[in-house]
Amino acid sequence: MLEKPLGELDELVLLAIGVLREEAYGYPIKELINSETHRNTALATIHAALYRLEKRGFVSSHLGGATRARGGRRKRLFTVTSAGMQALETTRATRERLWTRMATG
Amino acid sequence: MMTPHPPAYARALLHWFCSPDWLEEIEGDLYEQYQADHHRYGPRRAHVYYWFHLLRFVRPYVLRRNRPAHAPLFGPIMLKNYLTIALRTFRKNTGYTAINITSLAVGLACCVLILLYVQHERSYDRFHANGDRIYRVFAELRWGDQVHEMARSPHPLGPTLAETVPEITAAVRLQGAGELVASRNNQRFRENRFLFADPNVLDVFSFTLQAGDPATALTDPNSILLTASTAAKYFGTANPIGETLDIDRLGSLRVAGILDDVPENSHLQFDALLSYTFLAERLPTQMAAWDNFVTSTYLLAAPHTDATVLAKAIARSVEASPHASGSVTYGVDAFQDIYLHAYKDGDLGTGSDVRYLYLFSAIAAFIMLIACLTFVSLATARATERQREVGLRKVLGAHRLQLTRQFLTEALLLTLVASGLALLLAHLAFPGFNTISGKPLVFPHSATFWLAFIGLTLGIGLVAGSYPAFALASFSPKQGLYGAPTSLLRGQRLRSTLVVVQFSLSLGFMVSALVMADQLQYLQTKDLGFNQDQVVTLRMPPALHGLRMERAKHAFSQHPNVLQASASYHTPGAGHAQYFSEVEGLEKPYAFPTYIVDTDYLDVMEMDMVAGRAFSDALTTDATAAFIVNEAAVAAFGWEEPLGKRVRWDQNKDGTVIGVVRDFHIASLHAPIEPLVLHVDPSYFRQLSLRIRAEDVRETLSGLETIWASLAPDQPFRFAFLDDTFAAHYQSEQRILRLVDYATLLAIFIACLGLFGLAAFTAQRRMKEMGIRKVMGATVTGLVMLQTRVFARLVFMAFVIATPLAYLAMQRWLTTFAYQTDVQPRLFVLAGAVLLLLTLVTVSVQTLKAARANPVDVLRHD
Repeated sequence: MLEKPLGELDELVLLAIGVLREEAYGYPIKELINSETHRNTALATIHAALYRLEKRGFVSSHLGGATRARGGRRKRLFTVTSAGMQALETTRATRERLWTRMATG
Repeated sequence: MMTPHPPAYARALLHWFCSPDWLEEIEGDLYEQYQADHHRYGPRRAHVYYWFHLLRFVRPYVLRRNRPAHAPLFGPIMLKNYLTIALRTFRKNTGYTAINITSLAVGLACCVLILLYVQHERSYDRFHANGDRIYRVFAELRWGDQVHEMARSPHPLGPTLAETVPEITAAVRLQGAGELVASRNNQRFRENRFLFADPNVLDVFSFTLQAGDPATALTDPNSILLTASTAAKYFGTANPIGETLDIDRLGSLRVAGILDDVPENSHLQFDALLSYTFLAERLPTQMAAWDNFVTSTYLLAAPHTDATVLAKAIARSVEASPHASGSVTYGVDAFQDIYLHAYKDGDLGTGSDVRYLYLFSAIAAFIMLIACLTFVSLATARATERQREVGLRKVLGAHRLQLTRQFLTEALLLTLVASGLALLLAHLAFPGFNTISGKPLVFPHSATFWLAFIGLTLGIGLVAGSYPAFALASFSPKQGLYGAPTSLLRGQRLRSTLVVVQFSLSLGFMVSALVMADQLQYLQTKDLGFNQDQVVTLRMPPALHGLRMERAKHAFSQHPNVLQASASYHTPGAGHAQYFSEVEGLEKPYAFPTYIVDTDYLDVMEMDMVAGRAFSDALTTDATAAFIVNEAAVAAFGWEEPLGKRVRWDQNKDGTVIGVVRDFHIASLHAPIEPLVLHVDPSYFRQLSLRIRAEDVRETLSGLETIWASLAPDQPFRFAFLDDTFAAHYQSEQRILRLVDYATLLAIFIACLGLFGLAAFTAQRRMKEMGIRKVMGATVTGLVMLQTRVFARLVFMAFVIATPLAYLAMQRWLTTFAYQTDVQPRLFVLAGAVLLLLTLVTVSVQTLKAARANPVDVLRHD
């Protein structure tokens, strides 16, 4: 497990998953990030980030919940693992340290 | 409102490249995205965005990792199973297997033979170490508006060029020694393959010396080099080095070395080499003459010399020389190009034409094509029988590619067996093929051949087998296992097309063969302008040339079966000479083909006069100042009144035209009739032409031989029949015709084989239908006609397609002859009728078997 902070997109994705709780899958994650950051990130980018995060062990996923809105296809739902939470904490800590130094230095 | 759908193609693409692990969620997310876009922007933009989003997903982790067929296309694992199934399939349907193997074998055998032939032809002259640096000089002679190319040059040209042109390392002159008689210890033989050669010939060309010193082999004027077989002929097993060989007209020559026999694939052929220094010694004035074009000059260029640079250097040297003449320029041909591409008038040895290679290759390719089509046709026809097998295999988990592999293996196995058979067939066919082609081909040893053959076999197997393999592999299990076997119509249109193609090719072959035979027939029977039957020509020995010919002529005329005799310089069909002549009414001198004859010539040949009179003994001026021209000359010179026009022949014989002879052919009918002049001059006489009685030819010949022996006891008797001499011109056409005939037979054979199999299959499939029809009251004949009608229609279509193409092709071929027949429509009809008949017979036979079956048996299991 690395003590390095996460990249910006990875961090956003993890946060988004945390926000969305049960309905945390590709499309809503993308919509949330785009609406919060006023950017136009592509679905594929998000998906790639999710894949990376899962490979590193920061999220876990399972298939479930086919709805009519998706033409009957199941979604892959993500949850943040404890390692992922740790990574988020590390990232946040790094940011706050720098903020503090900027304010006091 | 209908649920909007994303573009189908995009989705199909996604299904194709996306790994199944991610497919569902990615497709779902894309779908949601699409819905949102559709709602916000409308359908068109939503479609576009869908594509964008989709393509962004093309990333390494998304793409399919393992293809379904985990093993490579030709792995060894399932091979044993495939082989077993293949053999089982073959045994079950021995008929079809036999047909397939036979047709493929025949096609491959043709390819083998043609391959060997082409390889042989292209290997000519390649054995010379300096081969790519050797060039042969040719001369361009200009007379007035006429240009004539000859592969001859003056004697001094070679040495002069070797001295003055730095790009030339060496020059070698070769000149035929003509007909001589050589003898040793009372063994005498007539030889005409002896060549005079410059002493450096062995440095330039790679004719190897078995015995003797290459440095001095030909320096002595009286030396001679014999090839191994010639040496054996005269000296047996004894060592001939240092011994003498007597040559008439030349004297005794000393054998200075033995050469390996000249390989067959050399366009230069000789039995012995004599030294050029001999000619230099005996004929010094001739050797220095620049206006005599008798010898062939070969140049060895310095390494890496460009041909055009060489040609320019030669031109410069010639222009600068004091002997330059405005009417002669020289060029060079690469030595190794001569045989197939650049054989010219006057070249030593023999030449061929590269177009024959193209023609034969095309014929082999067509036959192979027909065989492949038969294979494809039969394989797809029988496909329906294997549906169940394919269905079962798919259910058990086989992927399409694995099945394709299986069927390709079967095809390759068939092809391998066919190739073995093909080699056997080719081996058996060698003697016959060699007679037709005129080349001594032997069973191949070279590695390149075997590689090419294996490559060809595999290639054919893959090409022919790939379509059926793919088609079979694509059967779905549902079709195979549940439903009744698919109707016969599957792939029917393809098979019909294949059959039409096969028939078209066969028709093409047939028509070609018929047209060629027709043209050849025409050539051989066309009126040549004189009577070439029952004329014996004799080339007299030099001792009897010229004025001494009269005695011989008289002697031969005494034979009771000799009706009339005549002496001349040339005879029709055996070459002619052209002489510079001044002609009344023409500004520049004209190169006149000339026949020098005696007063009886026109009678012996039975040529007709159309104006004036023939030569007569009564008028002495006829021998010194009279000319006869042919109709073509009158037309060419624009003479309204030919009689009395003045001609100055060879710039030293003046005379007037006393008569016009009807045009006759002096050469093969490839060339049009040119203007010709005849005159009398006994000093030129070299040949006798005898018109003999039609009966007792053999007696006549032996009588002539006796007379010959009394006149020229030390010369072997040689004669020729005039009609044979002419026929020899069409040798190559006759050869091609034979080849096309055989090719046609093979093509039809294979096509019919295929048809046989196809008809059998169709009939079998239709048995149920026929049973029902019979119950309904159809007769056997009616059923047969029903089937044959289908195939007859195909023949008709093939006819429609093939006829215009064949017509055009044949027209083009005929234009190579100055005298040609027309392409007769009846030949097409004949070919079409033959094909139709064959088809009807083949199909009927098969259909009959099936149609006779008892409907009860057939319909029992339905």
